[in-house]
Amino acid sequence: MLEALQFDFMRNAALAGLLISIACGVIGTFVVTKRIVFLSGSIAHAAYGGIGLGYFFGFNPVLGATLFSLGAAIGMSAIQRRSKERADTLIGALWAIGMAIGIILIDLSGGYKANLMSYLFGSILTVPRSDLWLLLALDGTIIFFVWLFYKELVALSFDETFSIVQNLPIGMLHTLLVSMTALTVVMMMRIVGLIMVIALLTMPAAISSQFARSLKKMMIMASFLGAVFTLIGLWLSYRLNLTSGASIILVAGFSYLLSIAAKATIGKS
Amino acid sequence: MKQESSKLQQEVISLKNVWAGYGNNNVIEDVNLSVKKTDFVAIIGPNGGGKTTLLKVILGLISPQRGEVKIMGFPPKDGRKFIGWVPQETVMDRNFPINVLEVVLMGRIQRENMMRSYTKEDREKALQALDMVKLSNVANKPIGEISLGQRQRVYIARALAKEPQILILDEPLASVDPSTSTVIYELLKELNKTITILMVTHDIGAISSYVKSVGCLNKKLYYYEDKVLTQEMIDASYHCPVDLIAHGIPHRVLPKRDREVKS
Repeated sequence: MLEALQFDFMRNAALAGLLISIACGVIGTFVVTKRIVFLSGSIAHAAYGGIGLGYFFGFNPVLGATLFSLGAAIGMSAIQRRSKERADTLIGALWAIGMAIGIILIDLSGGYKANLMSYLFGSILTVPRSDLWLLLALDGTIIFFVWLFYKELVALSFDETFSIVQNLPIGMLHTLLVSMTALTVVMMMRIVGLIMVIALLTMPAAISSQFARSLKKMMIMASFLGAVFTLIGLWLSYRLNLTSGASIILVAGFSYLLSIAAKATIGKS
Repeated sequence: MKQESSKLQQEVISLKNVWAGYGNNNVIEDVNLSVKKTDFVAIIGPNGGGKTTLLKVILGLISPQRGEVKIMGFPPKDGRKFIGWVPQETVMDRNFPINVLEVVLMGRIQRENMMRSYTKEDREKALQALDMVKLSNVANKPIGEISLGQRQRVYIARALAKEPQILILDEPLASVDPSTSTVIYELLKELNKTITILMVTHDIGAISSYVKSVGCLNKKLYYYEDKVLTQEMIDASYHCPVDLIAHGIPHRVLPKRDREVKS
């Protein structure tokens, strides 16, 4: 690992992994406990439309993805709150529509598209230094809002009906939560690619939820686990010359399965 | 004489000709209900009979298609600040990483104290509420590690931490054993000295010995300000014969096949 860190790109990759793990742990905790995994998956894939938009109009695809995913998040938050009946169908439709718009726009834009794969499968090894600052800003923003609305977000996640009866502005809180999820998802796209975003967002939190006794502890534990998985995955990909995003996900995935087995064994004895 | 005094009492929940449902489908029709201060009202009825919809209308979660709902004289969205809401235990997430005291503290949350952490007073009120339901000893336990009956009391404590005028409970005895349901009923009876209580339930068994009045809801509300349940009332609302309680033994009112999950 130390030998690998001699390289600038490895240092950046490791730092990016650490920074994204914080956002991932905090937001992943809400995604898992509030059960909006499907919604988050949809946001991640709808973001692809924004990437297409960026290619087509010639601006930074990450900016396009950010705008698109924020729009999708706000729209889906409204859908999920208003129409209880078919919310998941609609969210599933947005998932595909966003993705399809991206693909068509990229078809239409022509020219050189070597970078495209990096959005699908991630490219933590090519993360530029400027992205590290962006990640730091994202972590800061997320921690600030979660700190500010902590008890309200906990109440919303635990019991939405009760929160409504307490007259909390549920629409605002829900939109805030999914908007932060959208931003996290876009930043994670750089690391593991949009296809695997959900796995990295949810698995560290899912593992922690089996052991943590409060949401705060779950966030800290999930962030720590995310960082460990990212670093181990990164090291494996360096040593064995494998795709970094997939290596990270497999490390997280095996750990998750192990934790379930461990929990089941503890539960029995 | 009793009638006279009840008329003088303040009306805390009032529904006048309320119709509600989803789309063109009326789940409740022309419901009239008047709950007065320190009443203890139980609403019984079959699944799909509109119990959940009635609660949603009172809590302001859905608007009625017709009619008027008032809580302490206000529309539900304002009036619900006087309501302590106790959900059905079975719909809650037991694996949520949170301890009992933190759950009860949620009762202290309101729009006015957003973006602030809980105050010392909040903690005191929450602990008092836990004391009232006799669960101070499990304050720091995770919600998933206490018994079902205890969890039901935790949700009552959460509602009490709000210091409500009205307590509204959804199936407070769903799947608790008879001895636990006695504990919960005794608690409610004690609280009822100062707090108005409205609950919906399947369990007619224990009702008659604790509640002051009973309504049967099956699309329409058959309401009697008298706790005497007649076989006709129950038949009218269930549209199927149901045995009345024999010898005060609580038992299931509905046949097992009807106990489907409510939305």
